[in-house]
Amino acid sequence: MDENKEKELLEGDVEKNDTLTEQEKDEVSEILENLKKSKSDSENQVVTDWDGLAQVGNTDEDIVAEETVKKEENAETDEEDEEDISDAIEDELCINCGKRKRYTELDEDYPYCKSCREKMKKTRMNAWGVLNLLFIIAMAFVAVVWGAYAAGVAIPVIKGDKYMREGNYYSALACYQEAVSSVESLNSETTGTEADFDAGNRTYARIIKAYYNIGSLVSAQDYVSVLKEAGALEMPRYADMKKYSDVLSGMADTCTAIQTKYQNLFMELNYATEKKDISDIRKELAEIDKFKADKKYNKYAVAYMQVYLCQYVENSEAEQIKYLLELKEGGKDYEAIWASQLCMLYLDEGKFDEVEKICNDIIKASPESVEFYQYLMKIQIKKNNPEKALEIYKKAETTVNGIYYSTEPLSMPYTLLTEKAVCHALMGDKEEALNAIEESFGLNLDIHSANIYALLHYEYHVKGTKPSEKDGEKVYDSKDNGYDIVMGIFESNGISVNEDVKAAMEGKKTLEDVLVKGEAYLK
Amino acid sequence: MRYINAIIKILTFPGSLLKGFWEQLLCKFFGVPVENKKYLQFNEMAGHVEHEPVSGNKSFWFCFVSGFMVFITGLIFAVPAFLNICFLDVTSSTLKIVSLICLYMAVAMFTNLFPSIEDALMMWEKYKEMGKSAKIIFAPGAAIMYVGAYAENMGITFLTNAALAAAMLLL
Repeated sequence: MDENKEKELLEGDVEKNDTLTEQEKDEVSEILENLKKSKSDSENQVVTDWDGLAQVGNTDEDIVAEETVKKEENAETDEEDEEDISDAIEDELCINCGKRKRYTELDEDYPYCKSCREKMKKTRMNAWGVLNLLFIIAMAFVAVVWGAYAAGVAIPVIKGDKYMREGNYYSALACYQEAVSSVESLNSETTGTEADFDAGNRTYARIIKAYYNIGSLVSAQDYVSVLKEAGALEMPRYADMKKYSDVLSGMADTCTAIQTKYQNLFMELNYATEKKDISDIRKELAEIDKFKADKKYNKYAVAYMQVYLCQYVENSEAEQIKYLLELKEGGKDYEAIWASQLCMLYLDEGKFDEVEKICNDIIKASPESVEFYQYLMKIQIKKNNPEKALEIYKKAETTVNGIYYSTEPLSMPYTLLTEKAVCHALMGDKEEALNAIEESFGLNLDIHSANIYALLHYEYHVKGTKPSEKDGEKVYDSKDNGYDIVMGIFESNGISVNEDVKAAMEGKKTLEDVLVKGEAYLK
Repeated sequence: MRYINAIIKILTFPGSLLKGFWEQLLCKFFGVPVENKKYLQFNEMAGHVEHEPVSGNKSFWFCFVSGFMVFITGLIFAVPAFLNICFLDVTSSTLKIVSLICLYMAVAMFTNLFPSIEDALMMWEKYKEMGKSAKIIFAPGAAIMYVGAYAENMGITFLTNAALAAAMLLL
């Protein structure tokens, strides 16, 4: 038994029992009797005649000295014997109470008596253990509360990760943004001046990754800035984010440098009363081209600036395609810049195969990229296959219905609804066409959609009718006033109606001429 | 080796005290006399209570229940720590401190899951005496506890947990 245990037992951890039962007293007396008996037996054996014989011939002094030595020896022997007795008693008595016989029925070497054993079964709990338990309970409570907050953020993130693995990046993005919003609402509920909760750098990194996967890295700029400010980009776990950050900052730096250098040209093109021709800016475009060889600049950003310049001038489609193809080499990093624009230019050029390839590749990589379905619909419309275009629309509709959105069901993009209206108009479904364009108009409006809206309302509501008068003003669309509203929008924005649409309204062109044979996008 | 074990038990005191607490509570429950109720000692019994051998199948449950309760407690701390540090990588200082404390508590708990070698040996002996079907059922638990007791005594569980915690913080 070690010192600690002995000390503990002596301290009364296991209580000593002072009252012995009759049986226990008998046992102890028996042990003592046996020991006394064995002692006296051994003493008798020591005293023999040899002691007397040894003294023959000795003087009185010798005898006295010898007896003194003998007495001393006997005293020592007595002490040793007493020690032996006490050892023997200890060997048979309980090491805790020292009063009762050991409980040897259990084990030969068992050191405690039965009574002490029973008491050891009821040993009080260790105070430190109880205190530690209380401390752990308190800590566990804190952990559970904070863990619940963390889970509130983590659950939509986990859901988002599942979507990411499936390639549904729009749904994933919606989930991650839901996590960010939940943290924002949590912080707005807390009264503290400093925000205590945050969605975490990894959530922001996931959002950036999702944006990258949908080919819209530029949209992730804000989140990249958050990581940059937190100093997270230097950590190995954010190596990917560092790459994206470098792309974005390289792009911003290059664009700023070119814009600063050609500030006057940009001003001139922006405020010119008459649109210039591509031949007017060829010299500058060639100069800017030299930036691409300089490693200080991002060559894709240079191409992007060239596209940007070309958009201000006429007859620049070939140049735009050339620069966009350069951007295409940059891959996913710049997809948001080149993909849609290249599809639109190719559609105008009649390069349907190229458009189909671009769209299918993007949809394959990111099935929820519904905006690319509109280009596929346009191909079919241009081929005068409105039924096939509607089939594509239905695919897009299924995709949109499958996209996760936390607050309300996601509506179809207005661009697809406009194309749906065009399909129905070509098929002669007047009501369906009007419903679709009305729905599109309710969501958003661009020049192409506004022209389609004006054209369809003219065709179905105004054509063949006489304008009425209301408050001294002519009202052309007596059914729902739609035509008048959109024409008012054109007028107030200083934009004129598309030439083909105007011709159709004048009866010079048919719907098919405008929608199938005309421009892919009515400008 | 016993000093390394004792130092580890002291470093992970919330876990070793809790493990000792559960062992003592189970001793009470199973009616096993406790010889020394000091949980933190500078010897191989650090983090455990000294008690008489637990008889029969009780020895399996004695080792299993005490370890399982500590494991559950460890999970309570590990989940928020993992979510905040590894999964989300929170930046808020308050959240970070709470999460680091939770991480330490989780490491402390997971380092004190296994029984003492004496208990493990006793449990293994009793396991060998079990019937065939019981042997199959209890095999994973018995094997894990038997191996784990040695691993814990050698400080392997502590090293593994510390390495996991470091990976959570750094990677």
